[in-house]
Amino acid sequence: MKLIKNHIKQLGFSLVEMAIVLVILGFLLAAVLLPMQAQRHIAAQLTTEAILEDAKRALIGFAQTHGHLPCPATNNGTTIFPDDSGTAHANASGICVAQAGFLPAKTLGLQAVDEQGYGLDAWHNRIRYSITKANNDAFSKPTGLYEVGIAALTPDLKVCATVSAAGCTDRIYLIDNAAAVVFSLGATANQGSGGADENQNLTAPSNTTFISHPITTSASANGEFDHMVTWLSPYVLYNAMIEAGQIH
Amino acid sequence: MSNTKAEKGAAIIMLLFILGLGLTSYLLKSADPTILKRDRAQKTMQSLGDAKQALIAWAVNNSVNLGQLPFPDRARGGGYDGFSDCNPSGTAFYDPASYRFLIGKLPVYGQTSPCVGQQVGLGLDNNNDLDNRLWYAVSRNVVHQYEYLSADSRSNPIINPSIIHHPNYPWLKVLDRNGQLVSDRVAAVIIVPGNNLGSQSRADGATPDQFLDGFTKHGVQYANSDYDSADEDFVMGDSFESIDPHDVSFSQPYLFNDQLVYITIDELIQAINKRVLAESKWLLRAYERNNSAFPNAADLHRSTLQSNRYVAGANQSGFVPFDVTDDCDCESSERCNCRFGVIDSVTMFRYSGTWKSAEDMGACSSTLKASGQECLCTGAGSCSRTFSTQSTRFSCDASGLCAAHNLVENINNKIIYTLPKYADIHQASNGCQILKDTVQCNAAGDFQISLREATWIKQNNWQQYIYYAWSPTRQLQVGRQQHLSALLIAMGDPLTSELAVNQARPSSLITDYLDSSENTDGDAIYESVLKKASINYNDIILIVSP
Repeated sequence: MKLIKNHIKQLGFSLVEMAIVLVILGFLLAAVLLPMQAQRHIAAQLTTEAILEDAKRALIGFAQTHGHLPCPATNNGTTIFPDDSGTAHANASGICVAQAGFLPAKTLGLQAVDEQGYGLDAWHNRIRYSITKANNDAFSKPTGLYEVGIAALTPDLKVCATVSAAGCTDRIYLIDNAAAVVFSLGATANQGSGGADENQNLTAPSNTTFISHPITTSASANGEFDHMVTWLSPYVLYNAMIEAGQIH
Repeated sequence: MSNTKAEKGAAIIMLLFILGLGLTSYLLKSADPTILKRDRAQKTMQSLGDAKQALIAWAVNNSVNLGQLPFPDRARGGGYDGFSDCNPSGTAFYDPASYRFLIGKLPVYGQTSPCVGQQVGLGLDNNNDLDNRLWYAVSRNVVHQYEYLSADSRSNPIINPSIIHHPNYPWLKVLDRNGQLVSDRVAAVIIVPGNNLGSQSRADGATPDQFLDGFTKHGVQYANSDYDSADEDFVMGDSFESIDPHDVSFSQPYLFNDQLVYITIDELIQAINKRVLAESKWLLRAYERNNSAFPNAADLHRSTLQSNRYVAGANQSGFVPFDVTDDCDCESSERCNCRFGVIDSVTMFRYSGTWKSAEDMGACSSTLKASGQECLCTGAGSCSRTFSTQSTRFSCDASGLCAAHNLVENINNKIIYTLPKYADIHQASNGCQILKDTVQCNAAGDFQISLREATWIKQNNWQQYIYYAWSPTRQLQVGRQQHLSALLIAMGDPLTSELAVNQARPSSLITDYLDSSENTDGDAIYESVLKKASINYNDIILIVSP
């Protein structure tokens, strides 16, 4: 009997020993995983930045080939093509059905897409996209840009460093003549429930003023913000289109 | 015996160990600091590339003076506020001999009033953090001439291919880590300053040396912050991390972490060339749409500089006829000749008497206006009023010959021409005068019609750098592309004698303008648009139609 008891004792650890080991393991895992989580978050941001950069390049490439920018993809739940798909949604005249919508990744031939063909960021949220309606929708009409010409084009999307009671003035804007704005909702993907700056970006459907600044928490003046915003400079767009003979 | 061993769970432990190992290696790999560092470095280079692209694009779209670059943000009056800081003369900052206006942070916003037009920013999208912006230095050749207060166009430099080899001031230089010349035709430099090194302190308004670095190699000092002459040199040194502290060729401590890219004037002119070609193409195609033919070319074979006036007859190659594409004339206030297509419409204002609208014919229509009775024609047709057997009439034929007949009174009558969007009035004389966008002829006179080109074309003498050819029977060929109606060639700067070619302009020889035997042999065949630029070839060909 004594022999059997000793044999059983040798088969495992006591509860106290296990508890100590688990606590130590917990500390070790926390020490490793927490910084790792931060690094993974940074990696996701870098990936999203790269996706947004690819989206910009694809938009410019589209304009070089077609002579205009694609309209945003839309999503109204009707499942009738081209709505509810990652396809640019324009009417017969080339006027966008919605000025603000989603990146038409299917039209642009981008890879990171969901089942419907919408472009996704690193957190698997759909990337937003807005286009200027200036010059009577010249930026989305097939020959609109060529007919109007660079000298007369006046794209009007603004990107500001913050929402301000004074508006998006020249003291705080980053650009006031963007042709298109592309943005990710960030890690938190707070659609409308973030701070004032995030809400501004989601002012649908005819928003022409966007906010872009580094990440802030809910403790900051304009609340939580982690949108990642980029935009298409008209000069870069025109220059690329000049190269392709699509504008004058 | 073997069953007893299996029950001890060795296989499961081994499996869990392998799974744990795999998971750990995946997590570690996905968050590998080396990869993140590499991504950061890639992002830095992308920022520099984006900035270079944005600056070139901004210059190519500069509506005030094509090719002109912005002044840097110099921390003038309020620190580095993001605004491009020009230098109005008469202020305490004014010093025509100083070059400190030409180095600063890359501006985010437009130019500071009042010196320079085009009050718009670069539109660059990596400027979220105003405290960590790129630096930028620009050549005096491609910014508003800061020695003049005036913001008008006369204070802007003339930017065309001639400044590549004949600039007003020497171009900037870029050197490599050994002080060897990389380029001596640099129009602008963009620099990532990196983190503070040594005693650098970057409080708001700090001077360039607090951001930009330098080093001494073999006793020669190189620095990116000391821009004090037209031909200033900038250096692409190695980062301090890759220099051995015991390397005696460098003075220690070696404190350098700037990274830079540069824009050569050749790159800038190349991009501008394409804008000029695009503008010219649009004008010529608009003309062709209205007239079913391209305009005759201006004379290339000339010994002195003249206006770019078309040559009558069948001149199908030469310069683009920016100045005059067509002539029109009037014998009197009631008889003029100007081809439809060249003009949009002709209107005869009859001071007294009326037309009968029921008698309007063809492309003419009559209207009663407060200033008199008008007859507007956009093609062949007539307005008239018949009394008994006598008919008072204003009519135009298809060629644009318009005349009035049997007017009761011929006092204060006038004929007014309106032009297409692409056209302008070059000159009007005698009984014809320019009224805004129209020409009014109330007596015998004549006028010339030109292309409505952007002001920067002639302001910068680009009309002397664009060759043009057209063929009514589509005989032109570019490379393997046949049956072309029209083409343009940006001729570039004259090739110099050191390259075994000595082009001199103005000239009566096409070989002084175009560069290869294929382009200069006088036939209808030209080089491919894909032919690469070289030291002996700088033509850029653009097919206009089809």
